[in-house]
Amino acid sequence: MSVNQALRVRLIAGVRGHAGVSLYGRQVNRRLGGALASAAYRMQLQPNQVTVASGLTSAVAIAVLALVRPSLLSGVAVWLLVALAYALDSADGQLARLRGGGTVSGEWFDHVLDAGRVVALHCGVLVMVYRFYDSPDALLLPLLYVILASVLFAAGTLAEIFLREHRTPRISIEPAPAVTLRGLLLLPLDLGVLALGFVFIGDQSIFLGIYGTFLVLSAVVGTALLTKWFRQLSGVVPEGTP
Amino acid sequence: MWAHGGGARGSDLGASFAALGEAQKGSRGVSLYSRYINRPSGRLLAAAADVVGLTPNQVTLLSAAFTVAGAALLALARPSVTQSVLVWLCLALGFALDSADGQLARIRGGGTPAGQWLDHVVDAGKMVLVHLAVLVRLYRYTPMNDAGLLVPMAFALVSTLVFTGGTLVPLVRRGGHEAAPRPDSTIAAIGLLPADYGVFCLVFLLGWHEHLFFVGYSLLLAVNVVLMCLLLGKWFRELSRT
Repeated sequence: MSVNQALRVRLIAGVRGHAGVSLYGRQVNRRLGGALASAAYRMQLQPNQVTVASGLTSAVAIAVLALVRPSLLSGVAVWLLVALAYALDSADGQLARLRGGGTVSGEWFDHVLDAGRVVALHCGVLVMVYRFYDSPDALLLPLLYVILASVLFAAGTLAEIFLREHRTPRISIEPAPAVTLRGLLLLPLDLGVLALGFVFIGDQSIFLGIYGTFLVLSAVVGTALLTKWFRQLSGVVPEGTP
Repeated sequence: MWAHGGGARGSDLGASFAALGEAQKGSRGVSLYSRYINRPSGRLLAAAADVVGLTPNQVTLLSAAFTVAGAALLALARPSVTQSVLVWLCLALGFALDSADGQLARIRGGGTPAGQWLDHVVDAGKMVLVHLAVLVRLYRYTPMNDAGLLVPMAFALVSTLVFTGGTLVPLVRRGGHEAAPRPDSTIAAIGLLPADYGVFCLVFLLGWHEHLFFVGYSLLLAVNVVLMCLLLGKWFRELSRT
């Protein structure tokens, strides 16, 4: 078996379940992340270094949003940078598993940076709308998006941690179908899909239409998810109860 | 529906309050404001909620409602002394109720994972909501340089990073369980004062004066940036040893 094949086998074996992952997350981002993780593995990078690289890439994307007059060119740049940051975010975990398991501090660092990115990214949009668009009402969209995305990020991350602790994970051996309804419904919450919308920042009305649609869809899907997580956690028996 | 767990479901305020004395968490990592003002007020509110028959989750939602009301008042009402005091009261009451829900859960025989999750999710939303309300207020009512508008956005980011970091430390380390409390440290309790949400809320009492408020708020941000660097570094090192 070549090094490449060996890495690929270990990557596939280490891939987590895909219950809470959108179609983009599973079909595109995880693969990109896997390729980046293999490259990082060969370069002998640490998972935390990949996490830092993801954070820096996000920071550059947000700086472009906030500082450069929106155009097709800057839009494509923001899309590529956000998509790269997102893929690196998937790569750090996959790299950790390639190296025989992640550390507690690595997982923590990853979540903290992600939480910061959620706030900073939509604040970047807010600054862009304020500086370069001529619609004060449109400022409400990123403002609401920051709150919604932060709440959903915290809720999802905490639900995953709580459920992981209180329940034995069901590992399915059968391959899931490539396209699931669940994977489709989760698309609007996926950073990689939102990133595509940034291609259109050069055109105010198109971008605000896309961004606003994402906001509304995220609110709808997010409300359903919050209810689902609360129900799931309510079914969990707390530790120490007979 | 009255069978909310065993123990001291008080029939009167005095009994509830006494039961609460034994249901306190440890005070490590808690500032002096929390220890001497917020927890006792939360204790009183928990006793009252127990007498009225509210569930801990209802208290959490009530806490969220007061915070949202405070933020709305801050963002939408013209600054005045009355408005400033009302904003502070709503936010401080929201914070006290945030302490009350956990205390109520403990006298009802222990919190549930769903309750703990809801509590954290509401807190995560609060961390950005309050600063975005400040942003709207500055935008609408304070004539200032555009760069000043970056201050509340930076504060939202800093608060989210500290909140996520602090919340996740015990959760990732013990896998879903809060860590056992360690002994108090008065120096830490004093040092943590500026990072304490209750102390932070006091700045809104300056809200009637546009410049005083902005100066106070910016100073708090500066101190919180320093504290953030120290805390995130400390948490990362602690987790690396796990």
